[in-house]
Order: sequence, then C-alpha cells, then structure tokens
Amino acid sequence: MTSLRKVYDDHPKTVVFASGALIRILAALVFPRLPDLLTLRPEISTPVNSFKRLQEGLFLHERGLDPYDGGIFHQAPLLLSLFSLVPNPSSWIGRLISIVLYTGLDLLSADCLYSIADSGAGYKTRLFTSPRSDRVWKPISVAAAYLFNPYTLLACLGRPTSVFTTTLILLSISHACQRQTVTAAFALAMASYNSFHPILLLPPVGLLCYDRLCINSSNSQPFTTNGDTSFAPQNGIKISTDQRNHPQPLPFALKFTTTFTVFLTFLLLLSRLILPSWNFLPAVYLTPLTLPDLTPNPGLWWYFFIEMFDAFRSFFLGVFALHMLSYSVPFCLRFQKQPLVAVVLMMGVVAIFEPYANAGTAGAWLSSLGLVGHLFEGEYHVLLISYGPINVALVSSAYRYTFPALAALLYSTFLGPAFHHLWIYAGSGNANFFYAITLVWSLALLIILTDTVYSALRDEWEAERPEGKGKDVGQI
Amino acid sequence: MKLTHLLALPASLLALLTPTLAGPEYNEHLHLLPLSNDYLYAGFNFTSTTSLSAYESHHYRYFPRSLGQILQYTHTSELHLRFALGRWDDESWGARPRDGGREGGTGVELWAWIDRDGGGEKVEERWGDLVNSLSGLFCASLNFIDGTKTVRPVLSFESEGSSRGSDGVGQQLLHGTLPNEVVCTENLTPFLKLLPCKGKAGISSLLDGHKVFDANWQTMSIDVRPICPSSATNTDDECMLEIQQTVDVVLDIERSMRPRDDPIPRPRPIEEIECDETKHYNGPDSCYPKRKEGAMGWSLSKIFGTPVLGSCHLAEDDAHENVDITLEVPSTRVVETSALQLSSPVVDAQNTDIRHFKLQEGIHRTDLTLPYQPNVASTLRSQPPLYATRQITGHGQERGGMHTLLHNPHPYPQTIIYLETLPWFLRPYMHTLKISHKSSSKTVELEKMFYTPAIDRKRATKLEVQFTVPASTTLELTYDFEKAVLRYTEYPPDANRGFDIAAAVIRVLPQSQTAAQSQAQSGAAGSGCKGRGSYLRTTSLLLPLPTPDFSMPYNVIILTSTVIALGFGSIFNLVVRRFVLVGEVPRGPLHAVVARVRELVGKVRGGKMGKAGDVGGDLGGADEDSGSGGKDTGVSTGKSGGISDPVMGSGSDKVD
Repeated sequence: MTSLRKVYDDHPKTVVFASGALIRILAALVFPRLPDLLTLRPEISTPVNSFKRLQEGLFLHERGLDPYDGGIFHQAPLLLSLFSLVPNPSSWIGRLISIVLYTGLDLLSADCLYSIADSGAGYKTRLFTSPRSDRVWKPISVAAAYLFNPYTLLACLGRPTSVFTTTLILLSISHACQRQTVTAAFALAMASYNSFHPILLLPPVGLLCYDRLCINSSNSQPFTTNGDTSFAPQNGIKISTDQRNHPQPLPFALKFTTTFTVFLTFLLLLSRLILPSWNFLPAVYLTPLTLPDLTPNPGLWWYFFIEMFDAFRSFFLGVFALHMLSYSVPFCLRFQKQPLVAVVLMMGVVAIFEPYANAGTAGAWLSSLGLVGHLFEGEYHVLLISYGPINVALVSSAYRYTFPALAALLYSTFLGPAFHHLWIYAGSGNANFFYAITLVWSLALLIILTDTVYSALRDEWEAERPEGKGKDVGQI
Repeated sequence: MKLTHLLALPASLLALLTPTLAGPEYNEHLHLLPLSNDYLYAGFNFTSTTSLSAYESHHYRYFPRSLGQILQYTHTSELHLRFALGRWDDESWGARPRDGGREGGTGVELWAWIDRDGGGEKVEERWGDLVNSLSGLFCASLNFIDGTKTVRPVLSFESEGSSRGSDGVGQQLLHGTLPNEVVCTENLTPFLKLLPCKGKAGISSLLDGHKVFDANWQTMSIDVRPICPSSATNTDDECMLEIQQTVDVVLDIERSMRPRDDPIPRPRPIEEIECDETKHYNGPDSCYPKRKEGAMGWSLSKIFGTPVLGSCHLAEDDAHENVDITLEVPSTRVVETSALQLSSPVVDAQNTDIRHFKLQEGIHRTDLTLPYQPNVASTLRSQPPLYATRQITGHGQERGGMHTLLHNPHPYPQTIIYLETLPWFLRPYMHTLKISHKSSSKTVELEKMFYTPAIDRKRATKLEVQFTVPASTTLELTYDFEKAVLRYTEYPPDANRGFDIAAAVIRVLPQSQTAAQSQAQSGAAGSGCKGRGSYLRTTSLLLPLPTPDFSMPYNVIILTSTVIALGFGSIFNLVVRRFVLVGEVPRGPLHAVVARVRELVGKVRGGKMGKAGDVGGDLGGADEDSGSGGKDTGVSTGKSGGISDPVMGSGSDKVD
C-alpha cells in the first residue's frame, strides 16, 4: 500500500493515465458484449454520432456508393477515411482495436485538460486574478476527473464519434492556452467540421487565445505582477502601458476567424475529394438544424419536435438554433476577464442544448468543469483517485443548488435507462416517461451551468470587493 | 392538320378493312383447378389487343378507352397493376399459377415503364399523373404512391413487351406498392367495366364481389404491353398493344357453397358430423370429425352464386381454337355439363387431365357440375421453384431484424433476385446483411446488389440482391434495422396497429440447362412469361413503431419551453446584472411609495392606538423605525450613481 502510494506520488500522471486506459480496455475485455450494447444505447449514440451508423456509412462508401445519399449517415466524411483503415469492428480483434483507438482519444483529451490546467488560464488572466487561486485544482485532478468520469467511460466504450469532437475541442483550448493560435484554430475547425456545433466556441476560444497572447507580451516585460491583489489604479496604468505590446483585438479576431475559415474550407474541400458529390454538406450540417431524425436522446429537442404542430415546426427550429447562438457573444462580453470560463460555459451550453445531445458530451463537459474548480467554494476538494469523479468535488462546493442538481443528475442517470425500457420494451410506460427523464437531466445540467455562471461572476466580483466574500449579495 | 387527316383517313380505313393479322382481338378464358383440401383455383383471363396505330389515333375497340387515354397522357408504354389479398399456401397448393407472373403482393402494386424524354423530373411528373388517374379509375388509394413508396428496380422486372426502336433505353421503370390498401368490391367493379362485355356476359359474369373477395387468396391484374414483331426490318407488321386482365382466386369450396339464405358460418349439428370411431376417445359424448375422403362435389353456379350468362365471343373469325373454360381434373372424374360444348378434349397428349370447353352462342345459362366422387386420385401439383417466408425478429420498438428463409426444393441450384421496398421509417443496416446456410451458417456470396438508401420523408429504401440458392438447401437472409420515431402527425389514427411493410418480390431466374425441364413440369399454367423466370412474393409484414403520447403536444411544448426559459432566464439574469451587497441594494421608486404608504398607515394606526395605551405607542415606535430606515435608503438612492464610487473607495482604502 505504501509502495503504491509512493509510486503514485512519484509519477502521478503516469499512474492516472495508465489506470484510465486500463479500466477502459479491461472493461472491453472482461465484458465483451458491453461495447456493442452501449453502442445501441440512445443516451450515448444519437443519429449524428452513432458508431453503428458509421459502420453503415463505411459499408456504403467502400462499395462506391455515396453514403450521404440517404437518411442514415450524418457524420463527417474524413471519419470514413480514418475508419476504413481500422479493421472491421464486428470481429473481437476489430472491436478491441476500436476501443484502443477511443481510449487513445480519451487519454489525449485528459492530457489536454492537464495542460490547460497546468497553464493557469483558469485563474490568472490578462485583466484578472482569482482571489481563490490557492484553491485551483491540480492538473492531475482535472485529468483524473475526466478519465474516471463514468459518463466519459461509457461513451468511450460506446464509441460515438462525438468523442472526436470533444478531444478536438479540448485540443483547441489547450493550444489556445499555449498561445498557438493557428493550431487552436485548426483543431476548432476540425471539431466544427466533425459536428457543426463547436463553431459556437469560436468567439470564446478566440478570446482565450487573445488573452494568452496579451499575458505573454506583458510577461515579456520586466514588469511582473505580484498577482495577489489587484490594485485598481496601478492596474489601469499597467494596461495602458502594456497595450502597446498587445496585439490589436480587431485584427487578431479577423486573423483568427480567417484562419478558422480557411482550415474549415480546406477540410470540406478535402472531403469533396474522397466523395462523389457535395451531398455531405446538407447531410452533415443541415441535419442538426432541421432535425429530420427524431430518435430519442437525452436532449430537449426530439420530443418537442415530435409533438410540434407542423405549421410551427420551422419557426421553433429557428428559435432553438438561435437560442443556442444567443449565448456565445454575451458570455464573451461578460467573461472578458475569464475567457476560459466563457469557453467552459459555452461547452456546457452546447452539451445541454444540442439537438442530438448525448451523455458523453455532457460527461466531458462536467469533467472540464474541473478546470474552473477553484470557483466551487468549499473546504477542500479531495484528490479524486479514490473517490471517483467530479461529483465528489461538487458535493463539497458552495454552489447554490448543489444538492438538487446532483440528486437530479443521479436520478436521471439511473431512471433514464429504466424508463426507456418501460416505454420501448416492456410497453408498460409511454414516451412521457423517458421524456420526463430527459427534462430532469437537462434541468440538472442547467442548474450546474447556472451555478457555474454565478460562482464565476461572484469570483470576479469578490476580486473587486474582497470584503463581500461570504456575504449575501443581491443583483441589480 | 387537315391535310394529314385526309391522308390518314384512307390509310386507317384500309387498315380496318383489310383482314390483317393485326386486327383487334378479344378472348377470354377460365382455368379451373381443384387443389388439395377442397380448395378450387379459378383463373380468369381476358386479353384484348389493338393495333398501335389505331391506339395512337384514339381509335379504341376492345381496348378500354378510359385506360388508354390515361396511358397516352402519361406516356406510359407498359403498365402492370395488381390488387391482391390473402396468401398462396404453396406448401399444400404447389406452384403458383402463371409462374407468379400475374400476381402481386398484398395490397396494391403498380409498375410501369414511362417515356423518359424530357428528363427525370418529367418522369416523376408523369408517374404522379399516372397514379392519380389510376386512383380515380380504380377507386383505390393509388394516389398515396408518392416518392416514399416508389422505387426503381434494376434486375427484378423486365419489360414484357417488345417496344419499337431501342427498347428500354428511352424508358424508366418505376415500381410502387401500397401494402396497407384493402382490396375490395369497389376495385372489382371498375375492373369489370374495362372488359368489352362489362361482366354481363361470358365468364366474367361469374365475377361477383361477394365471392371473389371471400377467397383465401385473390389477385387481380391489369397488364398493358406493346408487342412488336421481332424482325425489325419488316415494317409491314404492325405493332400491337395488348391488355391482359386476370383474376386469380383460390376459393374454399365448402365456404363458397354456403347457401345464400344462411350465410352465417355456424357449426353443423352433431347429427350431420361423421365421427371417426377409430379414435380411442371416441364415445357417446366426444366426437372427432372424420376426415372427408374423395373429392367434394361442386358446381360453378353454387360456387360463384350464378351460372355463366351467355357468351362473349367478339372476334369476327370465331372459328379459331379459342376455348372458354379449361378444367384440370383427373380424367376419371365425372363432369356434368349443362349446355357446354365439349371441344377438343385433350391438347397435350401427355396430359389427359385437361379438358377444354367452349361456351355456345345463344345459350343463356351455362353451368358445370362435378358431383361428389369418393375415390379420386388427387393430382400432384408440381413443386414451386422456391419456398420463401419472411419475418421480423427481435422485440421492443427500438430495433429489429429482418429474417427471410428461402428453401430450394429442387436438385439444382437456382439464381434468384430478391427485391424489397422498405418505407423510410425502417432504417436497415446493410453492413449487417448476411445470407447464410440455415444449417451450417456458411455465408453465401452476393452476386449483385443494388441498394438505394431511404431519405427521411422523401424516398423509400430499395434493396435488390442477386444470389444463388444451392440445390436442396435453405438459406436465410438477415439484416438489422432500426425503427424511426415519427412526428405525431405522421402516425395513422390506429398508430399502435403498426405499419405495413410491402411484400418482398423474388424472381427466380430461368436456368440455362434446367429451364426446359422445369418449364415442362410447370407448363400447365400457360402464360407469356416463360423467358423471365417465375416470381413469388412473401407476405407483407406489420411493423410496430414506438409511439409518442398523442394527447400531449401542448404539455410538451409548455414543459420543454419552461426548462429552456429557466436556463436562459437565470443565465441572462446573472450575466446582465451586477452584484452588490444586500445592504447596498438601491430601492426603486416603488419602494419609496411603499415606504410612504406604510408611514402613513403607521401614523394613522399610531393615532388610533395612542388612545388605547402603551402597547400602541410601542407599535407606533416600531413603525417609525422602519419608516426611518426607509428614509435612509432613500437617501442612498439619491446619492447613487452610486455603488461604484464606494467600491472604488474601499478598494483604494484596502491598498492603502
């Protein structure tokens, strides 16, 4: 036990990553039917990320048919090229290789989270240093929260292609934190190419990039901030001097957007090369907007649009899409001082309000909340190795509605599959059962999202007014 | 215009007057064949032809004008329409009549070759016109054959006609099915109206809706095809247009002969039942009905409710060997005819069981009676080329599997083409398609595969595969599918009944070397589809889909909107407002009004209570306190530009 402890203390990253990989591969080896079972679960696989549909698209593509000339396959074309190199996952060896591939993706995501947390972008930015910076989560805790999150674990075994999107988003954020603007834009373009909605992350990720670049230019000066307290007038002076070295915001935004667009266009052109027609554009990118496939998923859209009156369908599709869009810019404006928070919040918005929501994306978002873990006011957060995922950390937080959110999350996690069974298989419940659970699930995630917004703003406010800490506040 | 008319007139007159081979013709034929277990197969066939030139100049004689105009308007060169009901029991009835070439899947099936000139959209438009016109003509819901029920098969169907010029190139084959259509009398009446004798005379007078649709298996077909002489050089031979209408029924003899005055099926009284006394449990109170032996007696008038009324011989030269009724019973069976002229008794020297009859002119009521005969050697029907059954496997309403069993009973391998039209809400996974031996699960290679995936709400799935069924083996064809959830307006009123899936069409290709012998075996049913192999269709399937709650649209809209509004509202509430300490919250103008009112109330009550005593004074004091608090905040409101200044001040204090 002590030796184990010692090994962990010496190489925490190796141990956490190795055990994360081991759990995934062992689960696939010990329960050989589990991956295929999870692939069929509606909570994990949706029409736009299902592994089984990917197989179907691959089958059609390999036989020279256009896989997008049909209603089944809605995933990005380059995935076809990638998976045509992987052996057929119907055999056990093929299944194992696909699991190993997805485990690799998860490790990459965890590594990205590690480096993001390591960069300190969460608590120290150009304009702001969190008064709670002593409470920042260790990078290894953030990585562990991702690797041992049950939702990401199940998503890894279920192999939806949204795991690629998650990895690419995290990759983009981590490159943004390391001031690699071009690669950050490229990774984000890849993610958006893969599943459309990450395009909403473009403003916050751009902001994060800009912020990190500014920090870099101010750090290159002999002047160093002592970091503990922010002295308002002095701060103002500092900014005014620094701004000569700072990149101009407007050209930077233009450059970032252009880089993103160029890469996205490049990817789309590349896809056209391997496909016979442009059919993939509507099939991949119009499907999340028009929702032709109403297969149940944990999101809010499917039942709403089953029950929607035909005359109002397009109106509400527009409203829902615009609703998602409406968060991106306000978050950027309000969280100018904390761009990473804006990114994480926007990931949450995408995970909750996605038309084809799934537990994997939501789980990845819950884990990435660890990046802003210092906001969760609490005594101490336990190191998560022995206690499991994020949930433990949240328990100890001083969120306003921690308990209801966690109770609702657990409730929907356990009752969701049960109610789905009652509706689809047992026939003793109807669609409202599963619908109610998806409402609870979304509500729980929404409460967590709202509380994160609250605590981030509170943190920012307390930096300005340290005497307000721990006191009741009102809002005007 | 006029000139061409004038020129054309003598030509058409000439064509009418000169007795060429290509004159308009009409003949009708009824094939009667008792099947095992007291079933009777009756196949009606009505064929009329017209020359293509007469057809194109709108000169109709035996060809139905209503149909002809539709075909001309929609540029349809070949049409096949089927109405079918029930299931052909090939385990006990043997091979299908006419090699299955004149039958359809349950419901309505329609396929046609439409001229392609004018592009694909033109074809779609013509097809739409065609189904809508036919819908009106046959009182069927054919207009529901839209894009989601139409496919374009490649291998399964071949043009039966020989059209002029480059055949098949300029035409597009479209195939539509309506598996949920219930075929009924209202479809038979317009069908009979197309006949020259309108069902009033000749064998068509037997077709009565009550009997035809009481059958165990019934199929009506209309086939229009152009026939051109094969030698293209000989331009004198005119092209013909043939319309063939058939009605094939398998009637339960006992049920059909149920008397009209007592049509309700009820158990026979016990005295009439003959008990099987060999059974050990046979006793005074238990009776096992004895299996009937021999062939049941029947007559046309009893089975169809009416005898044949008159005749319908329309061709000018009636001398040729047209026969009206063919009866295929063992030669030992006694046949009593009333007013039937027994024409050439045997056609095929090898088959003495076939008797041909010809209706006589001028005789009003003709009947055919076969009395009960105890000992009749039953005729052995030839085996069907293939046995096929299809089922849906799996449970639950989320996904399932299609499972088709194909059994080749013959000692030679057969190549088949399997066509399925699946609605878009059934999403098949073709990567799971597997054809394997039932016994050894050894897979069979596909020879050809044509697959068109469905597009939601726009297009149906077409699956067409060609493979060989080895001799005397059973193959199983399986694939997985997923069931879609529809919008609630897309469900029919009886949503929990399920959705009908059209029958699979199986075409057994003719064998190069075994063709001759197989044709010789099943040569009884004479039809014009020798070279195309034989067809069979599976039964249609019922697919249950997951259903939403149909009573809930408002509730769902309200609940989901509430959740979204909750998120949106609370997030934007946080985002657009600033934090202040509770004590610093500025009071709005309303608060000042409220404070003023409370102050007034306090004064009034204080005045009242002051007389009452000390307690009132205390209360008044308390009221004044609160009032003064209100004043204080009022002052701070007055100051406030307001909050930021003290904040900044305190910040700088701290630093100092």
